[in-house]
This record gives sequence, C-alpha cells and structure tokens, in this order.
Amino acid sequence: MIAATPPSADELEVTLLGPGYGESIVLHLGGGTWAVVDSCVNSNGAPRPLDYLTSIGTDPSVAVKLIMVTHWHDDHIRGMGRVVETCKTAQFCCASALLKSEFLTIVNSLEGREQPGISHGAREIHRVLSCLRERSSTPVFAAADRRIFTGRTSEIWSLSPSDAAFTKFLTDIGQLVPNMGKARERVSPLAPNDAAVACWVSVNGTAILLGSDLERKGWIEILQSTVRPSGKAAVFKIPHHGSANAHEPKVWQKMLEADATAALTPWRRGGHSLPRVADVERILSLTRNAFATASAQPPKNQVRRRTHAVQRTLREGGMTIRQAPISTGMVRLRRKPNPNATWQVELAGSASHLAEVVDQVA
Amino acid sequence: MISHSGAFADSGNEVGRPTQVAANENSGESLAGLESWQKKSISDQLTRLHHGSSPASTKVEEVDAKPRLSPFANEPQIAPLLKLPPRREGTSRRSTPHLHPLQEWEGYVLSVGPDSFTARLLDLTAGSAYEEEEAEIPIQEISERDRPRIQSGAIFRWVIGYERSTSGVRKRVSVIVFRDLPAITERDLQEGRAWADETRQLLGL
Repeated sequence: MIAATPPSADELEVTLLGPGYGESIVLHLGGGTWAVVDSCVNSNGAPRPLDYLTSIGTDPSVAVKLIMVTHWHDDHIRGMGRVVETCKTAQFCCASALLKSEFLTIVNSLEGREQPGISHGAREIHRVLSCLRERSSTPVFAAADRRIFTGRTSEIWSLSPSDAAFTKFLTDIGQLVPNMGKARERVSPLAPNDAAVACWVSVNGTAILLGSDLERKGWIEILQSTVRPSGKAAVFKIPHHGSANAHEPKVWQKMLEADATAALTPWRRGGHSLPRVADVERILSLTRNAFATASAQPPKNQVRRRTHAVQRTLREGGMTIRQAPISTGMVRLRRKPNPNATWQVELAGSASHLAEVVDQVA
Repeated sequence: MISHSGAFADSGNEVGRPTQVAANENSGESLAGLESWQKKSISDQLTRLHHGSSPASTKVEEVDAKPRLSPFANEPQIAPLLKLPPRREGTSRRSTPHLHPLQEWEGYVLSVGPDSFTARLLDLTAGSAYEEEEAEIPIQEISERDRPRIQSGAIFRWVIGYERSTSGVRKRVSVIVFRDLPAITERDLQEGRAWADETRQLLGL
C-alpha cells in the first residue's frame, strides 16, 4: 500500500503510471510545483495523473505548472483533454509540428464534428487544442536542446525532436491527409516515432531522463548534440516499453549514472507485447534497479460478463474478447536533496521489479 | 384483349400503372380461354398492383380497411373486371427480418493476420467512453464482400442478437459490418483549414 501523502517541499518525486492507453509521468519539482507528461486513463475513464495527485491531497488545478504532450495519437494521451481543462494554471508544451496548419487541418477534418462512437485517432488532441483556443493560451514548443521550463530549483529541457525529425514529421503527416471522397477511417500513429519529445529534468542538481517513445535514431541525434544539458541522470524512464528499436547503448554510458534507477510501462496489442524476454535481460544487465508498472501479459479473468446467448455466440464463432491493457500499476520514486540520499522506490497495483516480468513473459 | 403470353405482355409495364387490363376468375367472358394457372397469375399480379408493390420490393405495406381503387376503376368497361377481394383489416406483415440486439460494439482494426484480425472495441451496450476491450475475430466471420476492407484503422459495427424472420422464425446471429463513414468533403477540408488558421491566431502563433 503506497502512502497517500504528498512529498515534502524539498523532496523530488517521479511517478510512472500505466499502462492505460499510453502512460503518464507525474513529477514533483519542489515547493509543491508539479509537472505532468502525457496521460492515460483508469478503467472508469478518469485521467490517472489527476487521480493520483488528488489521492495524495494535491490540487492539480493550482499545483500543476507544466503539461507536456510527447505524442499526438489517442493511444498515448487518453484523458489529456481533461488534464488540460483541469490544470488551469499550467503551461502547455508540445512539439511545434503539432501546431502547424497542416496538422491542425487534419485534426479538425477528422474530429471537428462531434460524433459518438470510435474516434478517428485524433479526438484527444482536438480536445486539448479546443481548450487552448478557449483560453487563448500560447503553448511552449519542444525541440532539440531547448529549455522549456524554469522553476525555483528546477529546469526542464526538451532534447528532441531534431530539425530533421521535425521536417520528416511534416512530410509524414501528409499521409494522414484524408482524400476527398474517401470514407473516413481511423488514423494510425506515425511510425517510427522519431518526433516524440524526450526530456531532461533537473531538480536541485539531480537529473531525470524521460525517454517517451523516442526510437534509436532520435537518441543518436541527441548524443551528437553539443549544447544539451551536461551531466548524468539518476533516473531513466525507458523509452518505447523497453523495445530494442529504442535502445542505444551510448545513452546508458554517457547520459546515465551507473546503476541508474529505471522504469518502464509494458505494452501489448493483440498477441504482441513489450518488453520481450531479451529486452528485460538487456536492461537488467545495465542496471539492477529496474521496475515495470505492470506485467506484459494480459490479466486473467478480466473480461466483462455478458449474457449466456452472447457468450455462446462468441464461443461458436471462435471469437475471443479480452480486457484492453489498462492497469492500476504505479512506480513511485522519491528522494531528498541530500547528496547521499537514496531513492525510495514504492510499487503499487501490478507494478513489480523488472526481473519478475521475465518470469511472466517467458 | 388479354395477352396469352403471360400475365402482362407489356414488358415496359410499371407497377401500379398497368397498360393492359387483366381479369380475375370471376369476370366471366374476359377470362374465358385462360388456363387456371394463367388466371391465378393474373389475380396475383392484380393483388400486387392493388397493394402498390412489386416482387422485388421490400417496402412494408400498411393495410387499411378501405379498398383502394385503381385509376381505371371508373372506366365502365374496366370497373367490372376489378373486383378484388377486400383487404383484411389489421393485417400487416413485415417484409424484412427484424434484429433485436443483445450486444453492440463499435470497433477498429488493429492488425490483420492470415486467419484472423485483432480489433479494439467500444462497448456501446454498456455506454463505455473508451475502448476497453480487444477482440480476436476469424476472418471467415466477415462477409466476402467486406473482407477487402479489413485493414488497420478500418471501423466496423458488431451486433449480436436475435433475428426474427418474416415467417416468425427466431435465430441467434452475429453481424459484423464495416461502416461506410461519411466521406471527407471539400467543405470538411475548408472548415479544417479555417479552424487551423483561427487556432493559430488565438494561440498567438
């Protein structure tokens, strides 16, 4: 059971929530100032970052000063519209490509008319943008080597996307432009994700590296930068669910302390899941302090009960239904600003040490 | 004159607008010489004319007590021939099967395999706000007409329920239909561009 109390004023906190549709990170930057990076929802559809902050007695409407969106697709930022609506005093930050005319045109063409049922993949970002429009709130743009937030004792830098990734993103979103006369479909997130926003957070001299879903090519570009923040991070939010596509060994050598504390959210879709056994073994060879918010395997017996006639029809047709991957798992890390202080690691819900995930995946 | 080549010889005949007259078996001289099957065929066709439907129609007819008369009813030489049995009051009949849904989802395709596809589902029956379930569906459950539409991102509606046929037989069915969502129009794109420009202006960009 995790203590439902806020951190002390000088205590640094990094909390990883998920998976839901996507993941979310909540950061205490000191003095009651919080930042939220991405969003996911719980089984009731409520945004988990808001739920968490409320549960520890913190009012997100005044405490959250920065909201970062590292992706634009529904599958990564579910509930973000409500987060933005609630956190009225927060500065909003995203990659500048998301506010280019071409992208905005696509978003509104697909989601501009409120329709019930399945979204076309951009409903959440449309909600976020609509909220910003109402407030006439100018966002801060994330790009390589840019300081996006300064607090009393903290700084947040975006390390990506690079200029090249930005240009490629603008080209790629051309694929999303719906053809006139063609029936609407749900857009898929662009892959590979070279335009995701990785962040460097520094609080009282302690650094945290948030990897988002940035893939290897993006990390190579970050490592080549001569103007990014120096130093090594004590905590690493492992990118892209620990996949090999997002692993760059030099990140562990040059950007992270030895035995840095690492955390990830698993992913599964259909019969595929991340991290794989090889991914887990690789990460554990780099640090012993690695944690996951949930198992990569689907939870058992979590299927909505339906009438006998429906169950029988599904059985006869060879159709299977399972709960989508929404977990209550949480990895919370807290540390005092003392140089010799260690990280206090707390695991809630389905969260576990990454070594336990090996047994579940194998 | 009654044509002997079939119930109505005029191949251009439109339903409800007969260009030839026919008779029922009570008309006397006019039906003389017709085989019994020809008389029955004429009677059937007249009945259909009277009800305003064709063999291919699926329109559901409402019955009222008063018999409707043909436009030719007042023609002296035709009227005696048009003695049709009165409609029975209160009879109505569904001409299409009726589906009573037990469970409805809307879903989109995540990935497609050789024999099945994976989809995310929004439970419409439960009133869910988000897609909370995933399904693995054999491709053979999809009609052949819809199979080319099984692609990543494609949206479909899935209903499980009881279908009652026109003859009253009830059976359990599972129907998956890929939706023809409204196509993107020039107006949609123009509105999108206008919204984009306005958004950038409001955000000070």
